[in-house]
Amino acid sequence: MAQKSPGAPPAEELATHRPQLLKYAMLQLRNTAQAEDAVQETLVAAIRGAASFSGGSSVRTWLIGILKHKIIDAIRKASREKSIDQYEASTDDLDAFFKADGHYADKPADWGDPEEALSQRRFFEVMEQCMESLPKMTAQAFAMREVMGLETGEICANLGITTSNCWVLLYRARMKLRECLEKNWIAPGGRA
Amino acid sequence: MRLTCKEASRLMSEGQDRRLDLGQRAGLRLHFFICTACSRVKQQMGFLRRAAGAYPGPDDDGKPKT
Repeated sequence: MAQKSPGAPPAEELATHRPQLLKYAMLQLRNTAQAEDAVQETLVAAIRGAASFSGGSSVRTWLIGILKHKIIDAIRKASREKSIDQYEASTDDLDAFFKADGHYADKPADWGDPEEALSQRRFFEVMEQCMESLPKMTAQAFAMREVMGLETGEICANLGITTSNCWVLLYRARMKLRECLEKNWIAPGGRA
Repeated sequence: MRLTCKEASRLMSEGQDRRLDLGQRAGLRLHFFICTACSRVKQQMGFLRRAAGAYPGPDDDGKPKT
């Protein structure tokens, strides 16, 4: 049995993070049963490996690090059963952003200096809502690429899709998130 | 290579995931030079990457993540 290090968080403390972990998992898996399983496995793994907690990061950051692997496992498993749907594979829905001549239908706004948003909880709530509005596989591809930092090749393999499908998903995610943040955060009143 | 904003938006997104070829990079640079809208979108896609990388944001105690 591994020796318990002085900084190892007790099981009761780990369990208090459950709601936040569940929210994180739901954002990426969009399936309550799968998200609950991933969180449960994370907490079990964390309790077993509590001694490996270095104390260098917050407990939540450490737990999310474990949860990411469980989420990827769940996405892989689910993708073996379901292939990409036609809507998500095509870029037809993105035509609405542009006029027939290829110019933007609505000119993208000047966001000024948006960096201060990164220290505000409210900004991340808006971002969560925007991610929830994306089609499922699009949101999963974006989360794996930009939240977890995986390479495209790995993402395609996890989702069981081609590289060009992957690029389309990421393109859609960026265009729609950009628009959603512009409407709900940048627009007057959004940053309240 | 003369790009429309629509083509440029797709290329700049792909440019975040793979290395574009020389012609594509040159086409984008030229396009940014003449197009404010696309220059904004490029910066905003960069910001999206930083924002997603910082997700889930500050801990609930309000302290920024270290």
